[in-house]
Amino acid sequence: MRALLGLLAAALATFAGSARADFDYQLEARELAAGVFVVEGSTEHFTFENGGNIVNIGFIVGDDGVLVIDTGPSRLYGEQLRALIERTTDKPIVRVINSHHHPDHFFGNQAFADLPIAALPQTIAAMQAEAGGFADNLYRIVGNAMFGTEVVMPGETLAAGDIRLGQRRIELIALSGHSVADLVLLDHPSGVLFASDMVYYQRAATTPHANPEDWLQSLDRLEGLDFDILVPGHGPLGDAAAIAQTRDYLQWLTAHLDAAAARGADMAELMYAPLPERFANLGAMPAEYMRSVTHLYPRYEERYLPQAAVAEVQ
Amino acid sequence: MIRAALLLLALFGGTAGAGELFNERGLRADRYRAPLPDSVPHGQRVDAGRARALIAEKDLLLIDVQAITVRPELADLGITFLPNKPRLHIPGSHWLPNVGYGELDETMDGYFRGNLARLTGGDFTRPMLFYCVADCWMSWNAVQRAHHYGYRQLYWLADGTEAWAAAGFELVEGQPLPLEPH
Repeated sequence: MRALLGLLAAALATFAGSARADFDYQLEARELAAGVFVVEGSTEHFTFENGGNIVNIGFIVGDDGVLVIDTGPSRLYGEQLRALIERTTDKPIVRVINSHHHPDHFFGNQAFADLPIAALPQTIAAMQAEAGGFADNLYRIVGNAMFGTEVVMPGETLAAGDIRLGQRRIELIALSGHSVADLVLLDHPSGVLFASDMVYYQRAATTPHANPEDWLQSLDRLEGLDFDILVPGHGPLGDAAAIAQTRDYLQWLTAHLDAAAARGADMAELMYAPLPERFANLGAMPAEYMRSVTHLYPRYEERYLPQAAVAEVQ
Repeated sequence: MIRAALLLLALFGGTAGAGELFNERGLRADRYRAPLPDSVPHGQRVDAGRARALIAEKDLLLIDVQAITVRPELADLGITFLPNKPRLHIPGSHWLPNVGYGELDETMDGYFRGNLARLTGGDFTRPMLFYCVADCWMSWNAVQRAHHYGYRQLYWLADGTEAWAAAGFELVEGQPLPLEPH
């Protein structure tokens, strides 16, 4: 009885101290193929209302355990994801993988801190460098859905190649270009490709750490893979058309920025340039395009600046 | 216990590359939004229910330290703080933005010290409650800074207005106390 009262008191204390600890992401798991699930987020930017749930998370159920692909933007998301997985299957979670270092893909790690969490080594280094700033930003934008979120780093490093989940062969493909290191997973039994943020579908690509040339080369490799269903990092399920859309946008964006720099356009003018119709209605547009101008345009300006400066002197 | 473990994580995990989390005076100096410790040096942590009881029992000064954009260069125009959205806080509070940063310049230090002196009439035993929002370390800093100024009855409402609202208590729109030009 006394123990029970103690528990009750502890529960009440937790409740009294919990500010918006009740934020409900309303996560749902959708089974794409036997044992392969996706938890789909919105195509918006981070907002107070969506609690940062703008991301697609996956999990794969093998014979004797579950592999989780990314963990969402906050502690609460991670906890609700774990509860969802535990409702969906009675197999234990055996491993968590973070596809890359952006916060919406790993700030839920806290809910899996008792399990092996793994990522590519360059991803872990980038997380260590940037996690604090990401946390500050997410608190600012998303607010209290972030409540109690503390960064938990992956404790294991991954390398490209095949891993086994029971009988399942899962291929890990190490790419880059969206960020310093982007991990893609291909589940061979089902043909489901978890493309991480290499692919955005019906949602504008984000570019704060992008190298567009590397990214386009990585898309070449993705197109060469044999898959049936593609899960993009952001946006609805797709197929090869999702890769083509990401490629189309990156090619347009880079050519557009290059041409603007060549004619000496200033950044403010460029930010308000009208978007081609095929991109204007992508999720998070035009805000994402404007952010990309601020991320990428200075590099294009630099390409032309020396010549312009020389011409001015002459 | 969990909080202590999280604090350790905050201290040793995932923050490499950022500035130092705590300065030499023990004040939080970076990452001001993060899970909070169970206690604050020189102050007493209270929950919303206890805070409300204290307001009823004592002549408690309520100090909101929620940070906002400050524009000292506009001080001559009388525009110093620029809230970008309405701030809802505990009724009867005095809002002193930005006094919970790890470092204060002379202007902000004078603003905090001077307003506390004015509000207490120089009574160092006047009870005060400091707060901001959930997972906000600025109130934790403000308690310790007030102790440094000489105040001795200090309370800390961790998780601030979110804890207050979660307990079902009323919030009202606040205005920051102006930063007087020097």
